Amino acid sequence: MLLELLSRLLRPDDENEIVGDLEENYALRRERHGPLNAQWWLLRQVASLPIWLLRERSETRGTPSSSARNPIGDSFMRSRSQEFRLALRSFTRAPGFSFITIITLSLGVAANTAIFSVVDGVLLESLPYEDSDRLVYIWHTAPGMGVDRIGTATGLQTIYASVPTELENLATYRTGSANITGLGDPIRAQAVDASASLFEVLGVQPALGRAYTAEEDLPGAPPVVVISHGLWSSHFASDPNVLGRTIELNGVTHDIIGVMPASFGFPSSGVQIFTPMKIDPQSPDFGGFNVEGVGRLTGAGTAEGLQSELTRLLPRVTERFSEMTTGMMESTQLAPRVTSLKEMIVGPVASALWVVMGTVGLVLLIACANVGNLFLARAESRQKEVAIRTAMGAGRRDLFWQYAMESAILGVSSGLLAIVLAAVGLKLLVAIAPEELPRISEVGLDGSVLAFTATISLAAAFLFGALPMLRHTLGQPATALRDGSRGSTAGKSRNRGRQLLVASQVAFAMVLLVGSGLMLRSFARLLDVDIGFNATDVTTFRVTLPTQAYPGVEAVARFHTAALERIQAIPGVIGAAAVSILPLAGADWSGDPLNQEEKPVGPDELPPIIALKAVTPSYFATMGIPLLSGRVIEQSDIDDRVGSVVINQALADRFWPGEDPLDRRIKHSMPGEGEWSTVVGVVGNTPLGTLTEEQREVVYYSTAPREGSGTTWVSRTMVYTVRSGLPTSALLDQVRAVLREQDPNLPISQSQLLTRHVEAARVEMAFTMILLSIAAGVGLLLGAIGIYGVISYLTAMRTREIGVRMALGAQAASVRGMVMRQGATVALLGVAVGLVGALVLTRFLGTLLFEVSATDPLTFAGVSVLLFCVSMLATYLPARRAAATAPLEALRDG
Amino acid sequence: MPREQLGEFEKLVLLALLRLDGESYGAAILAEIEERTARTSSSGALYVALRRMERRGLLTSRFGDPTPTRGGRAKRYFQVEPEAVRQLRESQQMWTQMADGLGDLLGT
Repeated sequence: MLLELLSRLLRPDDENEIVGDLEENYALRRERHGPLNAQWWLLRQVASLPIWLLRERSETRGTPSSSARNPIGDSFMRSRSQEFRLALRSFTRAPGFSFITIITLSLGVAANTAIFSVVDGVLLESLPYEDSDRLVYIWHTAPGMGVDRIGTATGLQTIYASVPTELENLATYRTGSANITGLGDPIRAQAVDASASLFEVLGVQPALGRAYTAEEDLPGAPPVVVISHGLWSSHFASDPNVLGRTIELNGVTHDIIGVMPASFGFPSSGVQIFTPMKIDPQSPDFGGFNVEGVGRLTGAGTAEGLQSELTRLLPRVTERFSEMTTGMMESTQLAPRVTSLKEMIVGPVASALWVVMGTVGLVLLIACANVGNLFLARAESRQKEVAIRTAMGAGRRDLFWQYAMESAILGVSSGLLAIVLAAVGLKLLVAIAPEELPRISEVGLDGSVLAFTATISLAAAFLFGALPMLRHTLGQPATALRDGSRGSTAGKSRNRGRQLLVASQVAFAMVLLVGSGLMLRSFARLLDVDIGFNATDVTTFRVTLPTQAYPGVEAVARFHTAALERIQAIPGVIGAAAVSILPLAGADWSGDPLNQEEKPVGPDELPPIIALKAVTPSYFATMGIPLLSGRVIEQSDIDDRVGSVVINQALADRFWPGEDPLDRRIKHSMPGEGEWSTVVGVVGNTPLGTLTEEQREVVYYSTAPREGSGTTWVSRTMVYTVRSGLPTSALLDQVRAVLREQDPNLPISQSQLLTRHVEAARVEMAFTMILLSIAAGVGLLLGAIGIYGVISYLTAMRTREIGVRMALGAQAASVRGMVMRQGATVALLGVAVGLVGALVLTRFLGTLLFEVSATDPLTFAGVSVLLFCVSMLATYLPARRAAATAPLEALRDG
Repeated sequence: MPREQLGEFEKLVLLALLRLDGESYGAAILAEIEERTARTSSSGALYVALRRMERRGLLTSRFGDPTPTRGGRAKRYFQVEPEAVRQLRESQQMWTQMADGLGDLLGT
């Protein structure tokens, strides 16, 4: 309670006396007047204490005995506390001004604080691993194959593992998922296969138990697993004796040997299972580019150094792996790349985040300009007060200190309010942020963020509060005293200062508006992109068939055929189908080199990488993808494993421009291997990865491709797409029921509406756009308020002049026109400067824009007009007031 | 250095103390003032006034025994010194002399 706090603050003597007295009287009041009255009384009494005690302390210092000891120091302290009291009083005496100023500044600071927390947590703070700046991510480019970013291969990793000078340790891993059974309902968990070295590389050990060793990481070793903290608490009730228990992963029993700490989330926080990768170091297989690599540099190692070393090791690939020839290496131009791990994780969002940071910075500047103008107005109305103080002996320094105190009070209170607002805003931000935003869980108001807040709120308060006031009140006190009227022209330079401030507000607002206008147009273009299928009323979910229960391609295909028959039979289901990867899969699609029968590639070349998917017969119909020629996959293709494929229009255009692709043959494999498949149909394009990329080519196989065609693994995991009018949960219940009949150990996972999946593809741009638009809106509002305030003020200054004009016969309209011309000048100046600024700054939007140029004339023109109109509106109100002035009054009051 | 005169509030505090037999503690003084003047007074002002007057030798203070009703806290008792009474009398004399003949106006 309040009294507890008070007790802690006071010396024991004072505590006994004062707190004791308060308690006594509180009890008495409570009896006599009731608890509410008593509490209110107590609050007031406690509030009165600090003010009085402060006063007393400052006065005891002024007593004769103490000042004899240290006259200068004491008078300094006395006047400092005097300045503080004066400063405090100047705020409490003008509550309207104080309120607006504090609110304006806090809003600006709060926005910056919230965004800075995100920037700090995501981009600036180091990763939560030991010595994390020595962690690097290893990947490759192969421009000769048309691929600029690809992972690494197990063959490469075994060669890279021995680079002593730059690399301390290397780990290989692969993300995927696994079916967990034996724990009640089967669950589908995110799983990582990783070499044993991963834990050493990251510098993390399990919180319970241990990580697996290099021996357990060899092929044939008994199956062990390390589980995540999340899985341990959700499915093992945080049992401390979990070690030694087993779980079934994809039908294979694994011993649990360790539990990771709660804070561990590599490569993302949803991973629940870590199993040994069991790479055979002697294997002659090069492996596909389907794994990822991380490493820890030595103390002296650098990413560039490591990259050169790895490049020098490449020739060993052809020595060890016969399937890779020197010619092939040359034609693909395979090259290793090493970047810091943090860069890999946060790189994609960095530019968007910095843009948003810049945006709120501009909003803060606009808010500061308002604060500056408000303080200037105050400075003028306090001229008399200042003159009196100066005449009574207050020096420049005293005034400076008073203004410094006022800034400090403003800065501290805005800062505190900003922190509260930012905390709320941050919660909202994290809630609506796209899930892909990395490290979002590490965002919070920590020490560096609070330091940032304190710095900018105090700096802003001082720069825009104290300094302008200082400049404008250190004029001659005598003239101010003598001529306290408002009509003086001595304020010409001051007025110009205010006009410049407002013009700069307009300019900043212009930049913000242009930026958000461009984003709005990009988003509109994004919405226009034809996705090529009909997403409404389609529910999707994922099914993975473990190898144990479904050993071969035919078993897999049979499952899917039977499952779809059952699902189709559910009343209310219009269509059911399955595909290995949905459109708009982001980076999740896979591709292999595609050979064309009529145009074989040269002996040392690799064919282009083309995406491939497996589909069931009703897929295109269920998704509403148009069939352009030929036919779709049919059941007979599956049953007989005929090797028929369907291609999309983009592939038809690329491989057979102007010709008929039907009955031609292609195969996904290394040249000289595998069996051909025949093209039987062409379907419309759908976006493969993202909405903004160019159309990519896709080959659709049946769930049971031809033997030897190299793609038989594709249909093990399929996404089921079910079109029905049923509500989703009802549909999924029914689906689970019919699938349970078929295989009770098979979980379905990742169910969602297809429309949500499509929206997710837009969400990143939507998020940035929303943030920019809010900032622009706030900036516009603040700018309009600024213009209104300044024009009102300037007009009020000219009241006498206006009165004279009207007395001499000027019409209301001409007075209005005069005021509005003044406003127009300021606005035009602001818009012009803003235009130039926007032209320069919008190039930083760069990759965030879609099909809109950074200097799009339509946006620029539209925003200029909008801003000008808003400014004119803000000017119109004071203009009307001016024109309504009664001339006599104006002359009298002026 | 000219002697400081008694402030208005300080006079109230002294009068309250005198009504409480010349010695009392903060809570009782505050209660007494509030009762007789029918106005709430500020604790802050009271404690500051008590300290000021003690510093000027108008009051002396001592700590009493802890009592359970105050959460085991001791009371600090203030006692009026003769100098305080002398200053009160002086101030009363000044008032009477200045107010002489203004009875109707002052409502006395």
